[in-house]
Amino acid sequence: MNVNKLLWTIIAFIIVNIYIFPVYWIYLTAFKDRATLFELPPKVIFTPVWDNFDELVRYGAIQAVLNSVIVTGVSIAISLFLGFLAAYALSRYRFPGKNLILFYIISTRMMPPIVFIIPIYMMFSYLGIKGSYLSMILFYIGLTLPFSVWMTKTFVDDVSIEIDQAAQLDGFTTFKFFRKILIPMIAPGLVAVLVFSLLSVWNEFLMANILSSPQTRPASVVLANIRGERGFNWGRVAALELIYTIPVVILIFLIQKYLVRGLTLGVVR
Amino acid sequence: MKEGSLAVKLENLKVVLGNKVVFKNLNLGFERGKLTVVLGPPGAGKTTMLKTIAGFIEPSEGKVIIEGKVVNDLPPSQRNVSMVFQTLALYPNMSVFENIAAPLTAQGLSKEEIEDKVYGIAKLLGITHTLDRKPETLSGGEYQRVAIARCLIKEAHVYLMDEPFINLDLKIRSNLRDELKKLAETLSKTLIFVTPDPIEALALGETIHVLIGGEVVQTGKGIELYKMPISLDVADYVGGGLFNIFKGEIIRKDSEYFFKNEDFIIKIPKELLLNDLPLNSEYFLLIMPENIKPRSFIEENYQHLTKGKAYSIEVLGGDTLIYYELESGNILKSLVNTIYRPSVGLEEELYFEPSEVILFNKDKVPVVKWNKYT
Amino acid sequence: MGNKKLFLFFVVPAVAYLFILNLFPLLWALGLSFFRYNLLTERVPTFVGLGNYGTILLDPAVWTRMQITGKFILISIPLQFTLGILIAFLLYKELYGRRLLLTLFLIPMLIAPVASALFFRYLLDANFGLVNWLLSEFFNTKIYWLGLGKVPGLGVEYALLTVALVETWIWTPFITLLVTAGLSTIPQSVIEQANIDDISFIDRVRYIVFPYIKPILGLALILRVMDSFKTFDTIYVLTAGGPGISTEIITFYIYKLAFQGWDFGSASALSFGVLVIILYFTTIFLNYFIFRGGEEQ
Repeated sequence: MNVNKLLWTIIAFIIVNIYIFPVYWIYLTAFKDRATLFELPPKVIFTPVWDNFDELVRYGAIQAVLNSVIVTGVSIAISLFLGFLAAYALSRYRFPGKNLILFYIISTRMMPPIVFIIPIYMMFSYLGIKGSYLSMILFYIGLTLPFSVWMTKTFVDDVSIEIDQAAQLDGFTTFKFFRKILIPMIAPGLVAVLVFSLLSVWNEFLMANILSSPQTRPASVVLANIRGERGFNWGRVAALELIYTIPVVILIFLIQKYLVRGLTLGVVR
Repeated sequence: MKEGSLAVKLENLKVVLGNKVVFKNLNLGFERGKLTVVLGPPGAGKTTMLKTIAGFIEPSEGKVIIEGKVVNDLPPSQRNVSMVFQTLALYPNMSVFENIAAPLTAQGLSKEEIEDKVYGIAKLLGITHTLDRKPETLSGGEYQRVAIARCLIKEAHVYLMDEPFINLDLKIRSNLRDELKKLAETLSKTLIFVTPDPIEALALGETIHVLIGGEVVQTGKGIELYKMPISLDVADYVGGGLFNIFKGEIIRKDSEYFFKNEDFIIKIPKELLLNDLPLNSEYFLLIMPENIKPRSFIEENYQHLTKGKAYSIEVLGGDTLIYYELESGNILKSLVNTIYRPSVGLEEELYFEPSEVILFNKDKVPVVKWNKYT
Repeated sequence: MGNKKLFLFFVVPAVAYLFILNLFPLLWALGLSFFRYNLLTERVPTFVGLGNYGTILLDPAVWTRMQITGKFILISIPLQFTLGILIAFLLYKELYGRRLLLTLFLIPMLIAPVASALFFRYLLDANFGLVNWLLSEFFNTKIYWLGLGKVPGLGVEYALLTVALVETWIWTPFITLLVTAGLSTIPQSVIEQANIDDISFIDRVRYIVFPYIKPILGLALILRVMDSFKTFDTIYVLTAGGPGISTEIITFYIYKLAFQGWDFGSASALSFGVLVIILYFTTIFLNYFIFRGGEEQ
């Protein structure tokens, strides 16, 4: 038992938890009943209730979370799929304009979203899809594809092309090769890409606000606009926030091992 | 070689990779049922040749013919070839058993048949104990043998092996070499074995094609390449840098030829020469280390060469390679068949066997007769 | 597996998609910037060439927003970096459950900015927020965190300070993450040598740690400054640009121009202007760090 180590651990523990205190506080608030909410001094110890969550369901606010799930799920499924195919081709084959394509893909990451909001709004309005799930999904695929392609390509690059060639000689078809050999080999990398893309979409607000309708609004939009809502109640807001953010927190803990590597990989490389 | 006995034939092959022309006009045949070695320095085009035969690289001109059929338009999976890759390329997420079985699974064999074949080849290569493990847990030698097993397990017209032993230590390499030779004989398959290591090529003993700069400069059995190199480059390469090569000129005195350089003058026995030698030209003299010895080790026929100062020794098995510095500063290597440790700086008289020297003219072509060996 | 040409088709969907959803809108926005097009006043766009850009350059409203943006960056960036580095040092020590602590610390960065901003809106509520309650209990004061009052000594409104602080809270873990990655590249042998030579903490930081984290810090600086221009979610939730215009940083202003003022022409021009600024800074920093970095190698 190293006393020095223990001491520093306690200090670090205290500091980190003070830092993320706001998260704890809101999570606590989600379980407070109406009366406790307004008590001063704000209570830390109280009897937790599920009232707020019930009310969320009754008011249909859960729909917002569902919308987030739908939009995020569909867009990253498609984005990862298209991204993987493109990454594989870009990694393995020589064709005209390859470097140009790569450069183009990387440069799209640098663009501030603000430049796109007007044209995308106009485009999707003309197409008549503004307000639908489709408009958000289409946008999010475009948002996550560049990173998805670029990162996946670096992982495929690390696999020697002779593995592909051995598989060819062994009679594997392309998709069987992907399924049984290549994807298992780059699985940790794909997880990193998945998580990063997932976070980008789940947390996104600006375009979702512009492109969604009251029926298709994801949770980020509902929460951001909550001030003007009727029936505004910090308890319910806290409950919705908990439901909205908890999946991300759980995900982070599940993939702790890959987290540092995956997050810095995109930057340090 | 008769046409009909060739399993693989390369005709007028031109292969370009990126900006580099690897093969300009290659013509080469590989005999069926035999193990043929392709020997060459890095960059000579060895891997390119194998990959062109397999179909991973497309030639710009020329034909690749396997068992009489032109396969240029066939993809690798349909050419009926098998390969051991330089990087070995085992599938890391599959067990050794699954790796070896991989070529067979696409053929629709029954489970029992596959098991039989895998166990069979594993037994032959001594790796049955690894079948349930993953490749990352294997030792270097085991890893290599699994790759070879995967290559040999299926029936193919030709088996391509790209430097399969390259990173292993000497003892394992020598064992694997013997195993491979035995396998090739018992299974009578057509094998093309590629390596940059002349010692390995010579030890395999079969027909060797020496590939330098995209051209086959000489073909022959190991001993032929060693004693009768077709050019100085081949000699230098096959000798692994151990041969002594001296630059000098030829002078004529009393109707005898002498090779002269800054360190010595020696007589060239007339019986050795093909023709008269033009004078006033540059010549190269090659003497192998085993044909130079210090005075205390000389045998019959040895003549005096020059004086040298010992400065370094290397013990190779039961022999000693001694490096001598000559007065001019040039280095000379001598090989004696026992352990001998002269002290550094010891000056010794050195002697050589005159009938074993090879003389090359300024074009690096040998001008000596070979009749001794034919 | 066959034809090489086949694999071109693997790439085409992704590239085509990006052309349609990235390149095309970008060019459209550029085109728009050359027109006077306000949905409220004109049904038809009129071509004005570089007129919009001229107006922007002379518009005091734009310059005010740039100043606000500048103040915002000057507060939040140094704070993020200082805190981020300090905590990275703290978490670099030998600790029990270090990975757990780092993971916990990453939460602010990984949850939605909208959610984080809302957390603070609750905490900083003038009447019901925990912070003001603590302040009134211990210091007998109450701060209007989202108000127009000027912060003593800083010359900015509380609202802007709050936004800057929330952004700091969100992004400090990012800096910590990068610095931690940078620290892990210090070879063990160097650390051991430092221990043997018993170098003081300050010297250790200057001569051993700093060279290894400098490139990463440079990169982080570029990224964070670029991203700061794009700050939107937190402002929307906390202040909606107000009170007044005290928190209207430039991109928020563009948003207002476009979706409240419906002035697509000016908004496009302004957004391109901002894009140019961002790219300009990026190239400066990149050159600086590539040059410097290269020399030192």
